[in-house]
Amino acid sequence: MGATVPGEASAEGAPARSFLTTISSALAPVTGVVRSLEIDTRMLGMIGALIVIWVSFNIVSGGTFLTARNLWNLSVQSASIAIMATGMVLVIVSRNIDLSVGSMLGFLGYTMAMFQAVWIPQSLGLGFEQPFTWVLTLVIGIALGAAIGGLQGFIVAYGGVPSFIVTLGGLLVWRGLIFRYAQGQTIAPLDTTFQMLGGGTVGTRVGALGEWPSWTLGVVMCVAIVYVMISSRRRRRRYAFPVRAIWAELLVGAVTCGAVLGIVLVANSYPLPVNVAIQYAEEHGIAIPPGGLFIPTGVAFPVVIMLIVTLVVTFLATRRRFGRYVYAIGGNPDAAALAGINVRRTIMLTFALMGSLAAVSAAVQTARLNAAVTNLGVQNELDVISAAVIGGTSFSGGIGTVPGAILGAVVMQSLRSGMVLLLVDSPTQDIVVGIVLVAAVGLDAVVRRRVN
Amino acid sequence: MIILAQDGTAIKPAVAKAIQNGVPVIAYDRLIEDPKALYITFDNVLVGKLEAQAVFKAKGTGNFAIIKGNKADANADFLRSGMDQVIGDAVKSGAIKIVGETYTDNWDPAKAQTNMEQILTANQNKVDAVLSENDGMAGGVIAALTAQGLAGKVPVSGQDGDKAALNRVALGTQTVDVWKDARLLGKTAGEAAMQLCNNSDPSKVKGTAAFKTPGGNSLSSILLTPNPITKDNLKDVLDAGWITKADLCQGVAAGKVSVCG
Amino acid sequence: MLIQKPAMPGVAPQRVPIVELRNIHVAFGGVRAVAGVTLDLYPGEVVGVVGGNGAGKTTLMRTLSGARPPDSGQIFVNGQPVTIGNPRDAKALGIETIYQTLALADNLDAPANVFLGREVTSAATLNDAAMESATRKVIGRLNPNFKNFKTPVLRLSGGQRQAVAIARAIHFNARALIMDEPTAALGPAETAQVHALIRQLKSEGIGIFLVSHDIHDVFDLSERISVMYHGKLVGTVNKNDVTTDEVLGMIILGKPPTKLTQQELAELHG
Ligand SMILES: Nc1ncnc2c1ncn2[C@@H]1O[C@H](COP(=O)(O)OP(=O)(O)OP(=O)(O)O)[C@@H](O)[C@H]1O
Ligand SMILES: [Mg+2]
Repeated sequence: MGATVPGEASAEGAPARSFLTTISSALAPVTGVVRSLEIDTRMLGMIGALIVIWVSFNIVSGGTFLTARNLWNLSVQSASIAIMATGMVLVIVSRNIDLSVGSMLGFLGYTMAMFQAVWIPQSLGLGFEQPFTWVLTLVIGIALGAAIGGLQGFIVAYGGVPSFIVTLGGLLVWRGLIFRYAQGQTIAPLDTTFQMLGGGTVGTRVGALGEWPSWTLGVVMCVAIVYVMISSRRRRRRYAFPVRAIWAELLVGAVTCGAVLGIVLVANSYPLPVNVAIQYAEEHGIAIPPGGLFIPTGVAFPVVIMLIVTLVVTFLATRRRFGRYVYAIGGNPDAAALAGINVRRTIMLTFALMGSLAAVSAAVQTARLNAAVTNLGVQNELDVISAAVIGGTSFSGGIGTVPGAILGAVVMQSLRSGMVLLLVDSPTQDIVVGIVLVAAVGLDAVVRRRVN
Repeated sequence: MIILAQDGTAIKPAVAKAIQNGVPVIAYDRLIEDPKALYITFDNVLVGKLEAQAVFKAKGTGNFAIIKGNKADANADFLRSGMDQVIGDAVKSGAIKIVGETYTDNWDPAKAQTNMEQILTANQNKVDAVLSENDGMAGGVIAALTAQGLAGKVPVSGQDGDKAALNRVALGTQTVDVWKDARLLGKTAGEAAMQLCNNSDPSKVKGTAAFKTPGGNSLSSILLTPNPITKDNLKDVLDAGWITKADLCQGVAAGKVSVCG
Repeated sequence: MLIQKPAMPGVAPQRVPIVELRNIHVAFGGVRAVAGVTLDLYPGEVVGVVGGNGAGKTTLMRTLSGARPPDSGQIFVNGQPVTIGNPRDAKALGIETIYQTLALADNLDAPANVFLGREVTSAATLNDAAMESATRKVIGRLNPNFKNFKTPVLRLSGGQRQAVAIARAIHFNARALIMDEPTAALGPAETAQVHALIRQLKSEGIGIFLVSHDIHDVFDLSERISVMYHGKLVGTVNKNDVTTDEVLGMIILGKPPTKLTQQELAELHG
């Protein structure tokens, strides 16, 4: 080479540079907007990715993916993993891991099934279908989950055994216990009220809120969101701190409220399946109109449970000392100890919380299946950890958000459900989900390096 | 030595060593890829065939969904080939259309449920029959059908003699449960073991036939015949003491099923 | 030349030391990091703690801040024997520490770090606004240019991080402060600010242990200087009674000034 005309080189270089500057100056208002909105860019990226996934599947599936029915199913299918992912965020943030969640879920689901299908009705002789059965089962399940999760946490925190080892042991022990006392048998059927927790259908009872309660839930959540925004703005005003621009505040409020009401709208656009609706009409003496009967299903109970869990865990993580300590421990365990934080107790509590969330998910999964089976929750730990990680939780500790993990769970389930819709087989699904997992974390690492 | 192998290939070296040392090996219910082992099992191809026969009898044409087991498990494919013996011709002629066919990780009923939901969604509920390879997954399939008000209207197969599944057969939501009496398996294995003690050549054991494995080996095997349980012969499982009447008939309306009264 | 001794029993002391460490021992496996050190600290005074790398300064201070309780020895606060088993005990006694490592949770912002373990709550929830407001005030005393109250301290400069660590120690009305190399990462302006702060805290009656390698700073700020050498206390001297060379000799040679020869002192400059 070397014979390049100087003019050529500069002619090549100049447009390239000006192209880059054009892009960055074109993007400047966008980044400016993002900054004044004070939204996590990672969160925006995930929402963007989700939209791309949804739209692509919708096109390829010929419009089936974005139907109310499929989205309703998707929400229910995501709920159980999402519920556990909220707890996994805190476990990973504190530089630990819980590999036992799938086995705990199986063990707890099995125990809860035994409670309602065998011990309460038969051993105690109280009979099936008691009105209190579902609550009692749920409360005992959650307490047991907190206890066995707490036991693992105790061994990690006070025994000094790495959580990877303790929960790997837990993975084997809890699963082994199921095989021990189940002897391969499925426990079914479950209490019909309990089944509602899974969003399933019993006769004409559907495990969902129905039309008006769904709207009420949506409106209440909207009001709560607006209230929290206003009160935090007031607080910052009182201390004369800088606050978000009013237009940004309104935009964020409108978008979040819109999203909540959008979810309700979708859930209410999904009518009871024809056969269920006909039976419902017969039972309630409703005449079936010529166009068919449209009874909105509403938000499914597993989704309601997931929303409640999200609120509670987010509150714990961001508004309570406990959460602050979990993040501090993840950021610098020595500093946390020197600040006088009871590190061991905090770690133990994160595992206890994880255990109780595994119990909630176990209730949802068994109720949905209307059975407890020996391989209930097998490999769920992988899905739960993946959801947390896709949602931005970092294995180096101290970083991760609950809403991120929920989005992560939805992204993963969207991929899987979408692929089943397209008749893609499970090994291929695994390959795709695996690649997405690595790509999400890799992309995030690249973006972060650029930003810093 | 009687072995119930999780992984019939991984265990090969250990089994080969045992056989070299003159210890005869019985592969109990799970195939071991060693030509000198004696494989005793229920005929899985036959199980698949019996599952499909019962469903085919209830529904001979239309849209079929097939929920298979774990891809890594040879039984999933044996079962599927048995099913094909029944519906293969109808599929070729177009009388039966397979609108969804999936493997299920770990035979997980929850995954089977999700898969079934997606198949129903993709076909606007136009699914006329479901061939599920076992009872657990049939439970998931039926939960998905229930949500659409289709349980009992769409025939579903299964196997294992799971108590919950037998109850579903009594309730009418599951069409057939192919029952492999584990005690028959145990008895046969015990008898075979006694014979092997006298003569370690597996092919000399009574009732054996040659069996071609997917791994290309040929070994001696005893294939037992399973019993397809439908609404009409529920008496068999009761009489055998496999299940109590209370468990079998839980929730069954009076006068619907003869054994439940 | 005066080697300080603990107040004689029976003699009514003029003043009671805020803190007194008596015959402290700490060993890590076979390493005797601190071996029989006795130190005290009076209200409104700065005691410089000096010594070579690995002399045991940090380890000694950590026994007082509760980070690593001593293997043996006693600690007195206001003349009362106390047990400091963990950092919370020390804080409850009014002893605050700026650690050599700063001990900050890198992923949290400045207010969260300042209030770590002592969060302000209202209605059982964290009151971040109140904490930020207080943090703005206290950091404003140290570094008026500090603006990043909402960024994780990971993204702050070394000096800004040090300001956060100092703010945490002085915000809670400490009676005794342990400063383990508080100006190590600071520029000249910030160092001057910290010096001014130390003088001000002193005038408020707070006692300060100042661990530092900068002998001039130590002479500038402290009344007395304690020198450690290989885990042992060489001696505690009044600043006005010694020269910097004599203190250097104590640090490097581990001998009290009385035993230092002219030649040894001369060689220090060689
Ligand atoms: N956690 C520990 N485990 C083992 N040995 C330790 C530990 N901490 C300190 N030591 C040892 O104790 C001795 C005193 O260390 P220390 O940190 O107290 O010294 P220092 O005087 O503060 O030194 P520097 O001026 O370098 O900060 C050293 O020999 C060190 O190696
Ligand atoms: Mg030190």
